[in-house]
Parts: sequence; structure tokens; C-alpha cells
Amino acid sequence: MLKRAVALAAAVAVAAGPTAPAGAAPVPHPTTTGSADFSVSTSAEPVSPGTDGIVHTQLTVANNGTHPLTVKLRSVKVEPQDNGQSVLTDDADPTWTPGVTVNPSLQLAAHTYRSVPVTIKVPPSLLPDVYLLGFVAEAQPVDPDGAVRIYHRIGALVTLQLAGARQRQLKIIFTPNRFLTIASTFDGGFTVANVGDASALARSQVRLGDRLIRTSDSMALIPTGTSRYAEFHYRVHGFFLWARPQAQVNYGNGTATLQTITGHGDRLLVIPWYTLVLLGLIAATLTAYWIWLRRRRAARREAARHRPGRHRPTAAAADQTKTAWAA
Amino acid sequence: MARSWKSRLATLTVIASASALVVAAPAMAAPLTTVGWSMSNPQPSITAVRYTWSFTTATTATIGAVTFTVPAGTAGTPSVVDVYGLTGGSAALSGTTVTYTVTTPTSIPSGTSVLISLDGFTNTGTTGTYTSAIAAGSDTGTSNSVTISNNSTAINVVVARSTAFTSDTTSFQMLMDPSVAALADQTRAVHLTVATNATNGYVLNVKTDQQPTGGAPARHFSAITADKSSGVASGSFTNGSFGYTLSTTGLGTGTSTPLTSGLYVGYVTGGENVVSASGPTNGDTMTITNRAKIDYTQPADNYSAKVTYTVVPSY
Repeated sequence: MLKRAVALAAAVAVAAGPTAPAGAAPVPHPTTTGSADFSVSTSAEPVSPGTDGIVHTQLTVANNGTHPLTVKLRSVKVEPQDNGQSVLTDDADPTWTPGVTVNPSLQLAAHTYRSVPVTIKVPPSLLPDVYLLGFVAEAQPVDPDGAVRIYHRIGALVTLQLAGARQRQLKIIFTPNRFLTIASTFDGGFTVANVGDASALARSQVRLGDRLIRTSDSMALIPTGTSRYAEFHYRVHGFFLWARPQAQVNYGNGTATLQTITGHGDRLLVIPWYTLVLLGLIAATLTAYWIWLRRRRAARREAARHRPGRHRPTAAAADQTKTAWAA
Repeated sequence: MARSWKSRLATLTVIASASALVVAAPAMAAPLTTVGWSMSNPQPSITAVRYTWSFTTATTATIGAVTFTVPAGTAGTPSVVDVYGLTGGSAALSGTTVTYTVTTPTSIPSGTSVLISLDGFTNTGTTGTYTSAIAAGSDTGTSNSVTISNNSTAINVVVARSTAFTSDTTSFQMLMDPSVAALADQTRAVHLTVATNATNGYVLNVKTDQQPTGGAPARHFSAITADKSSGVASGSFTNGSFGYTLSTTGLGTGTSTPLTSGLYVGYVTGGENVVSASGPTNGDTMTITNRAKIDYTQPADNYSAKVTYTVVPSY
């Protein structure tokens, strides 16, 4: 048994510094040859092909660490998700990867960077659209023989725009809201779903009460089959808000005209606390006034009753009179 | 008494009439505020220039069209790039007037910020300093000055989409021995840092090609849990298992309750997004503490695995 244990110990050898027993506080390790410190940058603007149908762009890969680093580059398939997120698969993209030319491996000295040219041959059969191309930059482990090898990857997205008219189809789905909100603000939201066959660049705003509220600072890419959630915040400026929010989404179809779709949320009533307090004060004041009026009328009636010549004799007094007269 | 009621009625009538007049008062023309005009390239006669106008409405009115004056000699067929404050429409250039016509005009509240960005202009060939007169409904305004000249330098600052990833560990080994308690249960922390200017943040995906496996496939560690949806407390970590726990600082947070509760979860071969951030960051830090625990039933062997951490920005 001891031999077996020793064999296990020898097999799983320590290479990257001492390990800590479970339960001990993790101690930050200093930067060693076993570290990776790198970055990847891509074009901020969508790229488009030239007249030859080829896109020329670049990836900038930097080694920010203190030792040389090997970074491998490759084109992979992108699966767009909701709210601008993307999943990069390990697989090549059958549409784009065959037409992508990029240096597959870079040797970067410490604190250096390199702009790597990338050429993308656009398949002629593709329709006008906005496409997402994925690249993976993978830092290679310094010790490839480690028992547990850790690969660090940065996903880089390149947005490729093929100009031309293309019908887009978006849909607005409002998040249901309560009819009555007792607060001075209202927070709502809606989802813009791309239910068409082409990606859309869209910008949304909300019409609520006397305000037009912007929900984003720029146009957002909504790939087909995905959606984006937009939130809005409204502060009541008067005594209440009685309105029905209307979302407006502007998007292009690749033509000179900008399209708009609209969608309505549920009708809502927002009453701030100060309105309720004010109503309470008014109600209290009116009630007090009403009570005062009643009491004053009662006092007047009482006073009128005791005024000379203005009241009829009571039955007892009449009896007394009668008795006196009879006597 | 009757005179008192008549007096009150008259007062109420006056107030009601005045209110009605105030409510029904027609929108009066007023100057637009924060009026701006810019062009992507101020060189004369250059093509494919983007003109962008912005202003804030002064009165509440239905705006069916907005007009902008441009310098004489401006040419091109404008196309709409971006609009907010108004809804969809089309643009046309006629003489020195650009008209943005709203397809379905609606009432625009006062104080609404409006931006209209049009592509496809060819600058005038006549150098000089120009302003643009803007008319939106009954409101009007004049923009700032724009100089078109050969001496103008078009400044275009382009900030790339950038993501940085730092790790202090690219491989590790654990010297394990079931006969020594401190060596039978070990952890190894991997410290990661992510910085990105991605508008919608990033996700960190974690995956493994296999659980640590020995020379024979049957000899392997088991994942402490099937995925991130369930976790185990430190004291419940079982022998023969491999897993990790996560802690984060900054904008990014764990994407499941076990990950945010300091519980141990297992690596998944298909990969899982374990950290998600909703905006740009100058440096979120994450500590992934790997843990392996054995007893004498764990066969002596050289167990290995490949773990991949992938940062994907969201734009």
C-alpha cells in the first residue's frame, strides 16, 4: 500500500510552486513563467469587403507579461446569444473559416504587441447582412507537461457588414407591469426580438407620459434569432402618472429609409407618496371643515330655538298654560 | 345668500375658462436648444461624409419633418444611419436644404433630445465657415459653425474593441499522498484578471477536456458535481473528486448560486459560463480554487487534464 501511495505521489509532481492544504486561505502567487498576460483587439467599426470581395482587417495581440508568450490564433464559429453575448465554439465556421487567412501562431516577446493582418474572402452567395465572425487567441502553457494544463483564451469578434437592402423583422415584447405603483419612480422593460432572417442594427426609445426616454446610447446589433432587453426609468414629475408606455425601435433595412416598429405596454398608474400624503391632508381638512359646518349649523339651530318669538311652546308649557287658565 | 352663490359661481367660471385657455393654448414657436452639427470629414469636395445634427425640442408638437440647411454646392444622396428622439423616416437633399421626413409623425414632447445622422454627403467645394439652420415643427435654431477647408484636419479617434486577460498560472501539479492528510486534500488557486471595453461586459467560460484521468481511462477523478447548478460545501468534498470554487471582485459575478456561495462545483467538458459582467471594466479579478481529494482507494497514477478559460466580450 505504501508503494502504491508513493507511486501516486511521484506521478502527480509539483511543477508550479507549492500547493496549499484545503481550508488554507489562498495565497496570491507572484507572476512566474507559468503566467499569461495578454490582450486582443479588433476593429470597433463593422468591416466591409472591397470591390474584390475581400475584407482586410487586423487583430492586435499584445503580450503584457514579463516573459515570452506563444499565442495561437484561429477562426471559430460564433453562436450569438441574447443581449449581445456570444458563445465561441471550438469548431471552425463552415461559412467563413475556409476564407479566413490569419497567422496561426505568434511568438511575442515580453511587453510587445503585433498587429496581425486578417483577410476574409466573402462567399459570393451570401445575402446582405451583418455577420459576426469569431476568432480565438489562445495563450499556450509554458509547461505543456503539467498535470493540469490551463489554456487561456480571449474571444474576439469581428462584425462584417455586407451592404444592400434586406428586409428585417423585429418584435417588441413588453415585460408585464403592475397597474398600480405607489412610488415616485417607475422602472419598466421590454425585449426586442429579431424574428426575421437577417441581423438588425436597432435603437430603442420609450414614450411614457410627457417624456421620450432613450434606452441605449448607440445602435445595437441584434442577430437573427436573438433578442435584447431594454430597461427604462421614469420619475413622476406631477402628482401622478396615468399612461401606457410605448416602445419605439428604429432600425435600418439597408435602404435610405429608417424603419420604426412600436409596441405598447400595460396601462399603468403611478402615484407618489407625496400625492397620497397631500390627498390625506385634503381629506382631513375637508372632514374637519364638514364637522365644523355641522356644528355651526347645530349651534345656529340651537340659538334660533332660544331666540324670543321664534319658538313654539312645548307641550308641557301648553299644559301649564291650560292648567293656569282652567284654574 | 343668493348673491354669495352667484359670486362663487362667477369665480369658478372665470377659473375654468382660464384653465381651458391655458390647456388649449397653441404651441408657440420657440428656439431649439443645444443645437449641434458635425461632419465626419471637413475637407472640401470629399465624398461619403456623414452629417450629424442634434438639438433639443422647445415645445411639444407633432413633427412631421425636420429641415437643415447645408452649404451651397453640397451634393449626394443622403441615407439615414441613426435617429433618436424621432421615429423612422427618409432623408432628401434639395438645393441647400436637407429634409428628414418622418413616416408616421407623432407628438414630440418638449425637452426631447433629437439626433439625426445621415450618410452619403459630398461636401461643398467652396471653403468657408458655415452654420446650419434647423427647423423642427415650429421651433427653429442655428447650429455651431463648421469650417470646411483644405487646412482642416479631420480628427478621427478610433478606439478598438479590446479585451485583456491575465492569469498567474498556466499549469499546475499536485503532489498527493493519501497517507499524509495535508497531501491527500489539496487546493490550487488560479488568479485571473479581465479588462474589457465591451459595452455589455463579458462572460468567462470554463471547461475541461476530461476530468483528471490516469494512464487507463478507468482511473480518473470524478467531478464533484455535474455542473455549476449544484455545489458542495468544503466539508462535504468527497474523496476521489476534483472541482473548483469561485470568488470574484469587480463587476463580474458568478452565474449560479453555488458559484456565488463559495461552494465547490465540477468542471464540465462542454463548458459553462461561470462569470458574467454587464459592462466594461478596467480589471475584474477572479480566483478559481481547484481542489482534489483522495484516499487509499485512488489508484496511483499520473492524472492529467486540460482546463480552458475563455473570455468572450459582449458588444
